[in-house]
Amino acid sequence: MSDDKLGNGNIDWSEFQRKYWDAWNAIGRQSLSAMSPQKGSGNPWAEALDHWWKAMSGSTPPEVNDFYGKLVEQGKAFFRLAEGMTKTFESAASGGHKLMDLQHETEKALAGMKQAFSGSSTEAHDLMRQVMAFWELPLDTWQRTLSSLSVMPGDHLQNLKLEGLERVAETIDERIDRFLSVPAVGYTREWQEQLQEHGRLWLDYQRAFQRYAAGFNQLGLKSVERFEQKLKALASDGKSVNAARELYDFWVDCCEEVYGEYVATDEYAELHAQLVNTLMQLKRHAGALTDEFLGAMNMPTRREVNTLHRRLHETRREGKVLAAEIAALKEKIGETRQLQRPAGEAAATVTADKPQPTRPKRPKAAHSGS
Amino acid sequence: MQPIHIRPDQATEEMLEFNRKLGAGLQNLLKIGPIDAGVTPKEAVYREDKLVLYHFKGDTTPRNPIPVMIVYALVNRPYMTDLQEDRSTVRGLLEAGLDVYLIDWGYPDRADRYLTLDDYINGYMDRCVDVIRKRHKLDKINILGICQGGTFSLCYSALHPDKVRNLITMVTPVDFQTDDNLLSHWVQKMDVDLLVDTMGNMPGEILNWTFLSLKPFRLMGQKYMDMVDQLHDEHKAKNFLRMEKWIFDSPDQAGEAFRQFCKYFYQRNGLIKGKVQIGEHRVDLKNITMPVLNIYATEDHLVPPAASIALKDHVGTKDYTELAFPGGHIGIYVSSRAHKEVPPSIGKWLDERS
Repeated sequence: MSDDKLGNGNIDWSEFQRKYWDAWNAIGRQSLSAMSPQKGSGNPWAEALDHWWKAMSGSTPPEVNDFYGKLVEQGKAFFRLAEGMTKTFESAASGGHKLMDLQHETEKALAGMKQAFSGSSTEAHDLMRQVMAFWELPLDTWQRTLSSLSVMPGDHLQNLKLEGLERVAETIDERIDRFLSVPAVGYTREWQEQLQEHGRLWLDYQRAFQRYAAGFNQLGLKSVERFEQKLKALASDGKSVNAARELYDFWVDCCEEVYGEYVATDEYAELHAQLVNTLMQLKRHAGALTDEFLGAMNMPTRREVNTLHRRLHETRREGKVLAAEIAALKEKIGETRQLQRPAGEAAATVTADKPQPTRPKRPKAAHSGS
Repeated sequence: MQPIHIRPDQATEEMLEFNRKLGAGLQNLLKIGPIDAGVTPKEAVYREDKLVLYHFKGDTTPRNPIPVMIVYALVNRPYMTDLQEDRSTVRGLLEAGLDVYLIDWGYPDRADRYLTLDDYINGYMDRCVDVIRKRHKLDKINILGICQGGTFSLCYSALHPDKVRNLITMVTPVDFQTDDNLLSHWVQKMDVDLLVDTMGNMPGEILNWTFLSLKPFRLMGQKYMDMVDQLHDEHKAKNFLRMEKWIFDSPDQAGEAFRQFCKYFYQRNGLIKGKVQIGEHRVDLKNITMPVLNIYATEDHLVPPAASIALKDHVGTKDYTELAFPGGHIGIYVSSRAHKEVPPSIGKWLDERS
């Protein structure tokens, strides 16, 4: 049992935790002050957290894993932001600068952040994008959601750049055109066309996704600009951000503000609709292809099951209407019988739910209540 | 002045503190055990398909002779109204002297795909009302509709005014196209027919994504950072997990009902235009002549206040009351302030009309 592993007397949990974090504290202190943007260097705190969670998650229940995984992810984002920002503004923050120098250093740091979202992909920019990666959260959640609904988890084209995709798309389009220009003949002609259509729809979705993602890339850039504006406002008020957590909240505010403005635009509504609509076209076509396979294997298809469900539902709905009408009629019959009963029989009750089957009807009375 | 002033050693200390809290929190979390919700004793008094009508058992005999039926949304689960002892709208209503029933719609599956709004409103809901009327030998009962359940309750009350004594709506969308309604903005250009024809039922995961996307950085990020600060407190951790369980406990939506709701309400804004057709009848809000209490949350990001308060211009009743709660869409059920203010206000309003 997982609880036993963690909760029995063989392991002193607190002591283990303490030693573990003390060790990383020592490493973290060294690395944070000494680290230079070396090639491939990650955030040691984020990595430590990752290692720790990998070690622990095997022993914890799934429901805790899921929740804690989210905490760890946010912790890593926090660490990256704290370290990245601290280093970025380190030069400006060090003492002895004149006011003009301070402004210059700050602007230089912010310009570097903006460049990271300008579309060019250098290692330094990628690192900065990681530091500010928070803006990718909605997109990442979409991919996770989609992945949970798909037979093919993930999105294998997610890392393609839009310009790169256009080239791929052109090539594929060209090939599809060429393929289509060959007259499909014979027994499989229709099937070939189905597959070609699937390819087109897949490409449509990928393009819609890339456009959607590009919108979020702009969001990253705008968030940094908002960050800059807000920092300036803060400085002009004689205030400053003095803690990493404060900085994290400050960055969240900027992202949320910019995001809120963006998603309220018609442009976003269009991109969002295209993303969903193209995905649904692709999935519907995939469903039709799956039905073809199932039909060929003499298995029930989704279309057939839908027909059954619809017919069953209609039958049940009719049944419920009839049942309600019968109940209402029984009630009326019961009331009518009560009225017809001679005064001396008042003690004998007839309920609507249990009509007396053997009692003869009197035609005239039977119609009186209708 | 330099706007960011964080020393490396200070940042290190903060990160270390975060790590310590995370480690200690995990230990605490493992002690918590299963997360339960729904605290007030209740009995099922009616079942049909996946629907269950519950009757809550209060500590005392209800003071108000007219029972109230809570109609929750199809989205998410109704235990939000009875989350925990100190945060329970149901408990608050019982303490206010009311006799409380609640419809639990259940979890629709593919076999429920063809359920329509007619099935939900004129079918399930109407039969639940009849069950309660029969149990209490009453012609009319009180209805309390929440969020989408409020919209259903408005439709029901307009179609069956002879069965509704008083109507209460909570955080209920009425005008679906106010400028600040992000959900509505997003859905306008979506091909809802294609969506439903493809997916059958609407998966709860997609709805979750949509709701979280309204404020992604707070709801998917910052919230968890805040939580780390509270993990040391077992009670707070448990409350957080209970809420987390509710947020992600999203039933799939029956396809046809979802299609109709999106098209009639969101895309055509048919409720205030008198263009919603449920079954054979058109919904005319002017038929709502019974007293109405409309409760909305001033900070609601899902159903903006303007979307709710539009009701006053469209109902036929002369007895219309509004109650503004200073909080959000969720806070109106679960905050301690809501617990103190909202159910007693409902109880008082109903007492005055019983």
